[in-house]
Amino acid sequence: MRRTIPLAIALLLTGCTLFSPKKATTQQLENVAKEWCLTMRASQVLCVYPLSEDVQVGDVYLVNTSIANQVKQYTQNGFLPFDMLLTRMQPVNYRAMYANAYATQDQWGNIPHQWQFPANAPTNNWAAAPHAAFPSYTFAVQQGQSLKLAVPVQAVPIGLSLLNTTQAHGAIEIDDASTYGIDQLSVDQQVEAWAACPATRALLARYAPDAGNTHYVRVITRVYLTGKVNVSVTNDAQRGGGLDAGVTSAAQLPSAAPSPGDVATGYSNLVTTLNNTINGGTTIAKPGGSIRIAAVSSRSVSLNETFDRPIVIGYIAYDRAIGPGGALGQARSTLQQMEGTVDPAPQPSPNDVTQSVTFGPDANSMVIRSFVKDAANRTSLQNWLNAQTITLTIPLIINGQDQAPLRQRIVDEFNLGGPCGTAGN
Amino acid sequence: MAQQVTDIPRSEVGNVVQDFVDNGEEKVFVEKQPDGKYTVSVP
Repeated sequence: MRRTIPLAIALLLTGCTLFSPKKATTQQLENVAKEWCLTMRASQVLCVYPLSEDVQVGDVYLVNTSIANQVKQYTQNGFLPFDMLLTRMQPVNYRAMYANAYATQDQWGNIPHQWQFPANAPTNNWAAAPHAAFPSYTFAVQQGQSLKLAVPVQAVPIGLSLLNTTQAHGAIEIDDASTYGIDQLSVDQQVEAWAACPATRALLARYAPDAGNTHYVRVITRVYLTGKVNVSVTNDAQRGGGLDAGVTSAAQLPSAAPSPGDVATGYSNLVTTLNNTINGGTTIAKPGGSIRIAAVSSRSVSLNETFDRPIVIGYIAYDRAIGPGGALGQARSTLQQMEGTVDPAPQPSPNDVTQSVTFGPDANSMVIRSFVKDAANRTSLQNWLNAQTITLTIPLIINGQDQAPLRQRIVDEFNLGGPCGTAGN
Repeated sequence: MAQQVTDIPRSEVGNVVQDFVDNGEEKVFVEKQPDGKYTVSVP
């Protein structure tokens, strides 16, 4: 037994290496990702792989490949790689989205950081965020294929090492899941305002259609996070594998005919010893977590992996094609494009490129026209429009037939009075 | 981004052009539509 303990520790230390994705082939890694991402897809969510804390609602990515190629990639691998992050916008409509719920009061410009790094608190506050739930994920492994089941959590290879098995099956439960998001209407107005900036337009113009290749911007509107993953692994092999079953021997509990008190004490000591071994000998990569053994027997082990801070596992997004001059086309759901239920996001039409309104002023038009004759008033109005992420110009607002509600809003906001003024003057 | 106002009666074209000029536009185009109304646009 004395000889098996150092060997058990060595096995644990090398276990992650033996099962490390770094040692796997590219094909095996792709299989790994696909298996994991199938769980996300079943929940109508796009998979993040590898897992990352640094994916947020309002992120805008550049997509360099065609929708057809992405569909092929998505079908083969189960996930879409993130390309270049173009910008990270802070959505402005969180207040309407969440009112004061979920610990968002007076934190509209800070979401999600008030959950990640709450003021005057030692730990994160993701428990206050909207909750989510995912189905459990089952897997099986045989000798020589162990890497194919690996998922982006460390508990699985450690569990396999503990069992020292060549055949196993198990389940992964995504626990402590949370989510937050924003409505597409408001965030797309922000995208419009961002894309209309000269510097942005110049950047996007570089990705105008070229020899039939279309590029896209991908806007994240919702993300899903998990703070904890529960893993259970059961040994299916009739006999152990080729290595000395140091840990397995230690895990063969309870021993034959001990007293009830010995069983409880021995089991408790074993779990404690294994937990100490794991957490003392395993290097945790960031974003990392701690792994605790919840239960163990000669044929199965259950582990809980808790992340320091929840990490993003899935997202919802939409795409817009980049047209000539950097103009953006109509939006299409990324997931629906990948599933083939909608056509690829189209190129911008002339109406997308040109802001066009039909002439149709009303009494408020004259009031606003008079108001903006003063340069300071015009600047005030433009600043207000910018703050509301309204990209329509003042002449179009004054003269557009469909802009009557916006004109009324302006008259009320600036207390302009006139025949339609409701706020008095 | 190009902008335009369509279906403008002849009597209102001047006001619309002035709105664009007041907003800082240097080039304003007026085009007569087949139906006799006008389109005012800026590039």
